Amino acid sequence: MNTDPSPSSQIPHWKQDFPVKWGDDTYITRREFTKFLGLTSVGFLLGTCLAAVRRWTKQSQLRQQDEFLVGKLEDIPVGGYKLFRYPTENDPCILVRLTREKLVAYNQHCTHLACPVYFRPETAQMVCPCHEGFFSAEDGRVLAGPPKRPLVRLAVEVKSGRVWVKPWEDRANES
Amino acid sequence: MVMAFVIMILLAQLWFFTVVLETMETHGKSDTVELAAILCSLMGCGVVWILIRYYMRMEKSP
Repeated sequence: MNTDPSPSSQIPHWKQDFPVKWGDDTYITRREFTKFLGLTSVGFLLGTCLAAVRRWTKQSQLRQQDEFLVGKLEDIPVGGYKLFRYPTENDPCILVRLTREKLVAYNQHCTHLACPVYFRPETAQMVCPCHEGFFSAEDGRVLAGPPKRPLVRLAVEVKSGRVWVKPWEDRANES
Repeated sequence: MVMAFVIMILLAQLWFFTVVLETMETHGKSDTVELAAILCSLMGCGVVWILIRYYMRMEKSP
């Protein structure tokens, strides 16, 4: 039986070895909180700068990109399509032959959550199967579903029976 | 009051961030919007740190 009346003898050993209280452990000082707010502000600033730099680099990559040969026109039947990657390996694209003369090309990423869209010839629509997004195959505009923005379009040119694509911005005058 | 102001600036910075993300996603061609967003975010960051210093000084003084 413990007969020592001093308070230190009544405190268990583990508590004497670790004298930090639970409340003190989770206590946040005002200085720490304001520092957190300040660092959050710096984080937002850095994020904004990074996003801008990323867009500028991608845009300059696109400007430097030459035309890309997708294939021969005769290999793509009317109502058919061909998949390719442009301008990088991470950018899947789709070339669709709508009529004998009309060809369109889009980045295959749905503008909602980047699922790959496919061509549905019977309705002349680009369809995103993930969340039922529908785009017009004529110009890539949104027809229905959750996407808010049109598909990213590429300019298509046929030269000597071969189909070439390039960034759409080069053909700003075209509708 | 100071803290409310700081939080308002942080929310504005978050909005500027989303604006730049939106232009990145939509392959927007306007650099002006991005530059304006970066400048405003930079100013916001500066004001936040000035306010924090002011707040800490106020805390110290009796």
